[in-house]
Amino acid sequence: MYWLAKFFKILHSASSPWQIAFAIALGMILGLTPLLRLHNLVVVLCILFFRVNLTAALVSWGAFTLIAYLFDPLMIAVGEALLTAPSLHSVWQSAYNSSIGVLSQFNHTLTLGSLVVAMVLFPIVVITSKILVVKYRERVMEWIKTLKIVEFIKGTRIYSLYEKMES
Amino acid sequence: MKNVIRWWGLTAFFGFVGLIALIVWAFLDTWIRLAAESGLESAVGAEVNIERAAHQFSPFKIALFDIQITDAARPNRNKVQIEQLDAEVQLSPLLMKKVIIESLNVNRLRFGTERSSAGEVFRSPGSSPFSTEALFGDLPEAPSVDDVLARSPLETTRVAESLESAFQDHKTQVKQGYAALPKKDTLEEYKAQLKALTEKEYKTPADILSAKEEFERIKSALQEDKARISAFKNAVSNAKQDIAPKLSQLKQAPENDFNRLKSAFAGDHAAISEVTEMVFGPKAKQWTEYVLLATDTLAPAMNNQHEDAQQQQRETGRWIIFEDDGSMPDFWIKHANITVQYQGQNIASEWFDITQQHDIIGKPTRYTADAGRSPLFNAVSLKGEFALGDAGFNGQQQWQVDELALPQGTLINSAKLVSSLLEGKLTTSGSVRLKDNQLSGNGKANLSQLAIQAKGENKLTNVIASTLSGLNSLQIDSKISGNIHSPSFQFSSNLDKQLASALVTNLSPEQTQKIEELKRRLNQKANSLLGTKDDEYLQWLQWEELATGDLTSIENMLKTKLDDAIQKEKNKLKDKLLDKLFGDNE
Repeated sequence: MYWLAKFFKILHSASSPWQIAFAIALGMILGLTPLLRLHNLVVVLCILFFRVNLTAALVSWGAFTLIAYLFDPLMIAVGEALLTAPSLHSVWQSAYNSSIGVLSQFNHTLTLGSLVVAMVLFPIVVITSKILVVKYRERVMEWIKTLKIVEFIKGTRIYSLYEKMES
Repeated sequence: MKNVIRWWGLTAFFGFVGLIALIVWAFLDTWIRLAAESGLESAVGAEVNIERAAHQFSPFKIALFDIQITDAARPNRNKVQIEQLDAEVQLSPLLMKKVIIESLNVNRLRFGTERSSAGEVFRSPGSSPFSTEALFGDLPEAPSVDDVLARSPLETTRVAESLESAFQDHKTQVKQGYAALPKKDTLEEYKAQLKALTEKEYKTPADILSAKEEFERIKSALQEDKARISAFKNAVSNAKQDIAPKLSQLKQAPENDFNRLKSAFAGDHAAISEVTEMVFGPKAKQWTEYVLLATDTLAPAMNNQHEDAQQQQRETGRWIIFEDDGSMPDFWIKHANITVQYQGQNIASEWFDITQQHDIIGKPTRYTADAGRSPLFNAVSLKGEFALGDAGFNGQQQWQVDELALPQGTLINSAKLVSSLLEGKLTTSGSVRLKDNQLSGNGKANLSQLAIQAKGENKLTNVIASTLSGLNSLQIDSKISGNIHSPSFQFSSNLDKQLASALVTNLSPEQTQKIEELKRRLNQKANSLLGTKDDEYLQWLQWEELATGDLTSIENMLKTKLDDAIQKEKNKLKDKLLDKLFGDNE
């Protein structure tokens, strides 16, 4: 619930929709693929180095970790199909005999399957997230602000204190 | 650009990576120790303790100190304890999850050391083949002769059945052969005919031709008879070869059965027959396990490790293995020096190519251990090799230990019999083969200069204790068999016979009477068959003798030649012709 509240706060913050969208997509890679893998070090570098929203990335990581439990069998099947495809055998063979290939642990069906699924979803998630953030800000956020209950909460002394503490 | 890049993020990332590296560096020794403990525990199925680990990066070496591997069968003791282990590990193959150890040094490896506290057992070893608690009960009442004869596999019966079967096999051939032999009258007739032909005076060439034809006919008939006699003699000879040893075995069998069974009336026959196994078995098993450590412990442990690794990898997705260009096995110790310490004496062993993927390196794991004269032994020599094939492990091993001084210790501690070894020397040799995980081999253990203390609690165990106390030397034969994961050892010696004869020296009148009855019944059993078979056999021998006489007679007749008689007649005719031609010149 805390993270959900944080997420709504991001949506209401000054972060640009692209910053939030990229954070969600990068967090998705962390969440869908097994954590202790070389590619996730690169993802963490991207999250820290590029000015994406850190909270959005953390929330996305947590959310996609839960989603991954449901889709693990599907992602394992994708990895299995790719790694056992005769046409790709020579590619995997040479990767298997290189240090970087071994370090990436690509020959694990879940690792490869989830990474491929995440990479395919990456642009879709980025664009969809950006559109949703914009739409939310344009419509839902304005509508929420007009709600009586929100106006009431904003008018309370506790909210004022909270705003001061946050600033 | 400033809107896209967060410079403090880069610093944070390298700080994070650096922190991880620092943690790895700080805790590497602990992780090495924990990983080694966990790996060894899954391999041996019992608690493993390592006091500490140390490492160096160039070349990458790890050192483990005071490794204690719990004996799953005796958790208060270590199966193996190692003072220090140093290994030089290749780093780059580790990226490929391959452990390639260039050199390994193991110092002061000891067996059966005491643990400070009992170790945990994860996989229970197989149960002990026998329990000493239920052994050596009071002597049961002597069984009846009928019972003993009914439940014991008798040599007399076995040999008698074999003799009967041999008689049936040869009987038809010998009888048919005898029936086909030429009659005496026929041979006399041939003799007379031949005599008449050779002594007759031939007057015309037609007479000579007719005599020659008759002569050939008789000779042909004689050749046929000779063949019949030879076939008969052959049949008798085959029968003799088969039956004669069986007849003498049957004559000996009642005595053998008697010697074997008489102890049944004197004591617990089953217990006596296992005394060697019960008293010396556990120690002999322990000594044999030491010399078989490579095939009996190391090889299965390596195989377990391999299987466990595969099992773990199947839980979430699976690892797909591609062909390895480097042709390196997953685990390979290229060269190892292991110093075994036994009762304060060091025995150095050298190992080559320890792996479970021998097909990749194309060589088996080889090992030798040699030690010269020491206060503890005269010499120790051990040599062997093993390799894992498609169907399991294959290999072989030979060992020779000369005059090893045995430590004092308990041999057996049961409610009815307590025995301790005070001193003794062991000379043992043997060999074992390993084919598709199945062990087969034999060993000999000569125990000499023995001093044994033993105490019994009933008549049977008193006899055993007295025999053990008087024992100065003993030769134990061992048989090793079974699967590599659960080898079985059988031990036997002449101690069982010594005990049986010791028991029969002091019998009650009832027992003596039963033994006499047993002897009479066994002899009766053999004699009833021997009587008829002996007669039949003697008759065959007589027939053979007669046939031999006939054969000689036929051979003599076949030597007879008609040529002399014909030549004589030819000369007469020639003289007659010359008279007619040159009669005027005379």
